Amino acid sequence: MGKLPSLKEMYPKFAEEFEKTKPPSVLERVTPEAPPPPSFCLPRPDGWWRQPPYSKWIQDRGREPTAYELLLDFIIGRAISSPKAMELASSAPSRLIVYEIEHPQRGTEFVRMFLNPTQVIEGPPEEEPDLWIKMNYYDFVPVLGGEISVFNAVYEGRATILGNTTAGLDQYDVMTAILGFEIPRPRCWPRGHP
Amino acid sequence: MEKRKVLDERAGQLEAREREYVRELYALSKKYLEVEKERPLYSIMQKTFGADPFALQDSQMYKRGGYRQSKRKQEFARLGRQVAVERGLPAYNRAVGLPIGQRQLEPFLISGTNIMVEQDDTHHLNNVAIQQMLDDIKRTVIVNLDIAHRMLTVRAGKEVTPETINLYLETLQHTMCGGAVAQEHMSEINPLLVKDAYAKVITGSDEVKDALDRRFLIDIDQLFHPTRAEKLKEAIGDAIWIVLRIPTLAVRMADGDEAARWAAMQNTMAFIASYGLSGEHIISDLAYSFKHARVVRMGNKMWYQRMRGTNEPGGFPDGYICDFMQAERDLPARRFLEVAQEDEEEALKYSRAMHEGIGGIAAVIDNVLWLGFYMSGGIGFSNTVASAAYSEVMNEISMELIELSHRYMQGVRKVPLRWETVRTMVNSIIQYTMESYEKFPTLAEFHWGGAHRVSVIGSIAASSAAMLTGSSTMGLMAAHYAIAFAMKEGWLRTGWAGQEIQDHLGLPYLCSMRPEEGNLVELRGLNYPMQSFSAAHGAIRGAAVYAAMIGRGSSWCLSPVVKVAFADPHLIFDFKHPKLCIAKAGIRQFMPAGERDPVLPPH
Amino acid sequence: MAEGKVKYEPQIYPGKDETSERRRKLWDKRRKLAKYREISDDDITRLLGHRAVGALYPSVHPPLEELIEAYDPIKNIVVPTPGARAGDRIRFVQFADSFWHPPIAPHGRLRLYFNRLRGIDVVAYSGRCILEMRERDLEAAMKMLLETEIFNPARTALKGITIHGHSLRLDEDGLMFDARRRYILDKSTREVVYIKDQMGRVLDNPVPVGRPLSEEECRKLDLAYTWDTHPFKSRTEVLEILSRAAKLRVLAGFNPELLTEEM
Repeated sequence: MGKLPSLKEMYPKFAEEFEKTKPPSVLERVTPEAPPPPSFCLPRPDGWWRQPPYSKWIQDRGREPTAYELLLDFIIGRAISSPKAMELASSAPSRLIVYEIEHPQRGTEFVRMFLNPTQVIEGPPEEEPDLWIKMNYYDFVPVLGGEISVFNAVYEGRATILGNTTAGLDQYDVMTAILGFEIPRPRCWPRGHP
Repeated sequence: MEKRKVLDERAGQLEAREREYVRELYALSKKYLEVEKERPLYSIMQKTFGADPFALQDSQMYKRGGYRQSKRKQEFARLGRQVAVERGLPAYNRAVGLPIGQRQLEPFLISGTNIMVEQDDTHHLNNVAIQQMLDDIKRTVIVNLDIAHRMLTVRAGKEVTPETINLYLETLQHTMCGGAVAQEHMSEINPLLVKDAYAKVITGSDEVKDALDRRFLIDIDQLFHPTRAEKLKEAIGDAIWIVLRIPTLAVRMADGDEAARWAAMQNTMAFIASYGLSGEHIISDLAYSFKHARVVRMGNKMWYQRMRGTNEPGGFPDGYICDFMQAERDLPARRFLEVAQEDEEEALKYSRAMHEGIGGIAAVIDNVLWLGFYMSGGIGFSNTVASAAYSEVMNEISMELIELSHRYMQGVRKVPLRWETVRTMVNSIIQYTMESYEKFPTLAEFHWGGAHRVSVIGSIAASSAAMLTGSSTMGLMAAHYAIAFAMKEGWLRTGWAGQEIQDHLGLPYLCSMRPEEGNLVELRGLNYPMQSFSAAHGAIRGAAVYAAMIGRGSSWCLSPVVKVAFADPHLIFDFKHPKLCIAKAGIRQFMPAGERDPVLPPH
Repeated sequence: MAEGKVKYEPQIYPGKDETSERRRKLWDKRRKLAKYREISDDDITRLLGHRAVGALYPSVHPPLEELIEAYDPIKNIVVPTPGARAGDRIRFVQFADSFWHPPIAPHGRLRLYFNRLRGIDVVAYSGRCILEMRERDLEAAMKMLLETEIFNPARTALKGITIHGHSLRLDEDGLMFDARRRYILDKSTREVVYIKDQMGRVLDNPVPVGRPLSEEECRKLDLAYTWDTHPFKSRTEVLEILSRAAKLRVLAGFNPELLTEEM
């Protein structure tokens, strides 16, 4: 009787072939990785703020605006010109919202925003804010530019928010009103809810 | 420096204003109670308590006539006296112990139905549907026939054709009912006693299906939405599985372990009769294959101290428990996130299906049966926890989850498995739930114990996280966060002391896959070391697993055959409408199996 | 690090609002609790119902001085409490705290006990917290538990048995539900009066425990975050700590170095 060949000889590419027999895993649909950022959330080339539509409301300071300048220009250049947004912002309860914006070169910048009366101030908060939003500078830009909603960045894992979501909804309402849309508030936390 | 100074000055002003705002803001609260009146919860509570749901004081407290306010308790008191007289020994007696009924003994509406039941009606001894649910699970065993068929063709040289399989299936119905097939002078069973014993086939192949007698088939195409059927059939493939259901009476007399014995014996006998086998060696191999090889039992054996056989509740894996649930089977197999983004109404159907399953099955198996009955002996506390899950409250709160995800998650492609991302929705929804308890004193009275609120808040958190991400582990993490961190720090109270064990000691093991530490949630079970002590957690794990399945758009949680086996319309308990069955039993409209009437004297 | 030890200053609790501040106060043993009422020692003994007033403390072992025990260095380090020194029984008191703006809640109690008392065993449930101590130590501790700001006669109750009712609506007098009706509101004095001891045995003489706190006082002293005092959802700092703790425990198994950005 001849010697039996070893398994390795019989199936030289066993592992590879075996892998092919497996059906695709259901886990593929729930891979832990976040989806890749959309193109408009990637770092922008120098001078982007001089291009429309951003040039319509961003003041050209000869350099890329800081997070504070960006939010201030947004309020001055866009919010004030929208009566609906002003109405919403003045009907909301007083809110303190803090943005912690991470810029790839400049590092962390803090901006505080008050809703009702509206005010934008630079620097970290003194009091406990209602809402703390932490995001990348180049996510913040398209949010203000109306290219993407802030919740999109949050739920796709590029931004985090902590605190009173109602304050977030208040601000979201103002932002969407500026862009010309209105989204009805959810029944659980209607407009003005503490 | 100048700029710094200006900023500092501004900051000073701001600090004062910030403080002022924080104080002023919440004076608004009462204004928003008006808005709360529009919630379904308001009318549910109004109906349940017959009082203003916002009233903090109950002027009728202590004045409702004690236990006499409940018809059921009146009946019990009367029957207790009757029993005492009949047996000459005191029985149930309201004169001892504390005076029950100082508070309102409110009946409650079971969600998805129009049936109001009293608390006592949901006790597992009073509620025959709950008993039948457990019996239907315990009496099920699933066996793969491919091994047996291969053995017959290769080893015994027999031919297996559609005709022989159909003959075998017909014979099997007879043997499952205790009929003799190979020997004279055997004791047989009165067919009326075992009318719920039968066997049915599952296959993923259309060709095999067409060849079989339709009466013996659990038809995946007919029972499931086409998208689900397609996935199930693909997973089951050409294999033939047989679902064997032994009589209810048998598992009641022995225990769940009896199912596999009965099924193996009667299955072997059916093979012997239909294929004309003798006492040859192949019989032992057949018996082996029906008892051990590719046999799916509904539950594992438990460790020594628990001392239960297979097919008993403590051994059910959570994945199987969620496969018993059928409420979603008519809905298309789509990812929940997509559905929620597209259409709120449609998403609501998924969420209702989920609560039907976890409230009607997971909460009952864990709280009522495992903890209330098997573990603690049936004092009836954990039954009340399960009843928190029967009510409409969870659906009501889930509506907000759907509304939030519909409006604010548009364009989100996938929610990554990162805690910082998931916590946003989890925080929102559990804070909303907690606020609901604070706004509605009647709701807090309705869910009067910490374990009730743990059950609701934990399930809501687990289902939110799991539906959005499709991950059961993330669901469980959200649930533990909700109970052990958010709820505990917000109110400084959780459930009863047992909850500390799971929610604190169990946390570091939550994502561990090492044996004796953690596991996939689907593979954990009621007797899982860190979770086996306390009411409320069954619904939570059920929510994590079942919601994750709905979140992924899958058709089953752990086993496609178990999923299909419980879609069987011949089952006595309807696993698609568990709450309806329980409600019907509450008003004594549900007929269980396993009654001994045919052999009892007239009574 | 400079030479010498850094002085440890317990931070107790995060948050800048009034409720967080109250938590810091209650759980910080360096701070005194405000006294609201006076209850005599005999009344406390009656409420507890463990021994008759004036009776000796039953003991379970001879005084420690008379015991000859094996050498144990711990016994030299830990100074025994008076009750332990005398060999008292271990007895209990159980408080139930209402869900509706209580001055303290079960887990708050537990932390307060751990910070302010010695020689204790406690368990917190959803509505109640049991405290076990040597009998005379317990009676001494009861002074603090009944006389200070952490006791609201209407919404905190001594319930040794049948504790159910913390989250039920209040009765018509604004008192927390009690199926055994241990306490009632004396309409003439407007004070809450215990007519039964904590185990529900009828007392020979009713024991008054002071007037119920007003709704404003309840809100001011509330230890829980509620939507109409200090909403939980706005407690950014607390939520941040909780979220971090959850991450550390679940994802890192108490090893913070294991955490990555991706988690």
